[in-house]
Amino acid sequence: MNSPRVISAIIGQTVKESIRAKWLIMFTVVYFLVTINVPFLILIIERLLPPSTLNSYLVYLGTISYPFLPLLSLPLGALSIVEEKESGTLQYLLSNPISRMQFLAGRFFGLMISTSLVLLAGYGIAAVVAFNVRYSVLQGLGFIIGLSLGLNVIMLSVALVISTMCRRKVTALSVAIFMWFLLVLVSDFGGSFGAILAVANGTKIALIAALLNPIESAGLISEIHLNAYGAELAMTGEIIENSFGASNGLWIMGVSLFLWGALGVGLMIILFKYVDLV
Amino acid sequence: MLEVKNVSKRFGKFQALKDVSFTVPNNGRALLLGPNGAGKSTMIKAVMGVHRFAGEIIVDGINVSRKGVQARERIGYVPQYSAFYETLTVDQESKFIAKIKGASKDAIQEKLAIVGLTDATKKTMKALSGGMRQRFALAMALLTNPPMLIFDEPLANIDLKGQLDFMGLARNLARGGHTLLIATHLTGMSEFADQVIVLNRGRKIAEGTPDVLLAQLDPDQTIYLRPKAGHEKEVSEILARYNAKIINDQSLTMVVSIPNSRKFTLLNSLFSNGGVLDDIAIEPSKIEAAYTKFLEEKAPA
Repeated sequence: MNSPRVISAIIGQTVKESIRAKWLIMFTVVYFLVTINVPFLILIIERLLPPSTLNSYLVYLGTISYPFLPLLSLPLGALSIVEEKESGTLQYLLSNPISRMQFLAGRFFGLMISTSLVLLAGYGIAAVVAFNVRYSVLQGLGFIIGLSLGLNVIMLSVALVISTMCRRKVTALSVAIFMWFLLVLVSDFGGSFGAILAVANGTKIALIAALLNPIESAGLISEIHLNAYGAELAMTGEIIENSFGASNGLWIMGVSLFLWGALGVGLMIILFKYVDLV
Repeated sequence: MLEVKNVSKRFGKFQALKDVSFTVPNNGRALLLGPNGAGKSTMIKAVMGVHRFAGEIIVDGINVSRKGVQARERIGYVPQYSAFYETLTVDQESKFIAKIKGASKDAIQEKLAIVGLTDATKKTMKALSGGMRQRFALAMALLTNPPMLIFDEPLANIDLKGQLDFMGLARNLARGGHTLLIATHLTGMSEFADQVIVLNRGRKIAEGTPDVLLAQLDPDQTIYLRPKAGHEKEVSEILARYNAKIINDQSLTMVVSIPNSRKFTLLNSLFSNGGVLDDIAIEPSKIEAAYTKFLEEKAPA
């Protein structure tokens, strides 16, 4: 069996390339800065906020970081295959004793490792530096990181679908950015739900839109899990809690995320296997 | 070694290959000849399993569509554009490819030595010249000593020195018992071939040994004549009688072109006229010299 050897070679090359390209370090810094939230940190250090505020901060962290996460994985993933199509390296690689699935697995897991490292390092360093990592915080932060990693997998699979279908880098990047814009716009973060709620059956539409949006689903899971309340629980969060209750709401959003993951990975595999790549 | 059976490939409305079939036996040296857009590269990509296609391609008894990885283990491939990861050094790139192919570090050193790149291992791929890149691609193709080598326009993007270096290496390989398939247009590689397959507009329009094809084609041959002083007019009349095409008569040596089938009667006439020539040279027929004419005559409408 040459599969593990071949896949590990592609994974290694993908991770090394991401380190060489410097984006891994750049995004780690971005996530570190998003996580430590300097003004908030100063208020805590000056004891101007009660200790319970930390939980509110974690809710905020999930809400603020999930919409930005696809900005890491969507463009990187969307460029990864189409870049190799344009340069000709994909054709050369596939002319070697390597199957399409081995290449895809290597590239997917390589990107997953690279981007997960960014999230772990960004959040992790901030946790150590800013919050002095207490168990309770670690638990909450761990949940946010875990959810981020899940969302990252979904976004990578969507990005690789885009990369497989596009023939030019600029097209792939445009589609990826548009996809991000669409997902963020149709969410509480983008402010669309306020408008949706004003129309007839707005509650149902907002609920369906939230279920169809993995970023929104991830944000809702994190809010409900971290017992957000009042203003912390955004509009769709309140709808979910009132309609289904917190526990059922978690399940529904979890299933939504799982289906996104299954659909993304499934589509990525099918397309990469059957589409003419070069 | 290689069996191509009724292979067709379509890109949307464009028919890139149509029912192409040919066989290259073990240790055979085949030239896939055709102008740009004839379908040569598409054919090679189909053999390498990069393109999906209709029909069947068998490499060393293995069906490319069903067991592509095993089939490619038996092929070393030198592409038209040697695309590598530009930021990697020769050493890093070769280790990466060796890992994919399951080749040892010793094999890397051995093959880089064969192509004369041992001293370039610290250079990045982007720092290599076109010729060096092709030699590197050749070294990588040879890593696992595959029984078959496929070249796709190997001389298309390199300078004259690179071409000569590469031809020297290919000449050695041709003697080394590899089965060779070389896709090319007019590049003077017919010396390697014992079999020629001519493609045009996605269809096979001829196949055979170079000699047989040349006989079929009746290609024009180039003859260099130097008439004796005072006999220029006489020579010109003889050439006109046999419809020989005068390419150049501005210097002492005339350059004329005549179909192979009429060559001997022309020469006979020139020599039987009491020696009107000081010197004569005949350029040997090459398959490339004739195939443009062949494409015009036999191309499907």
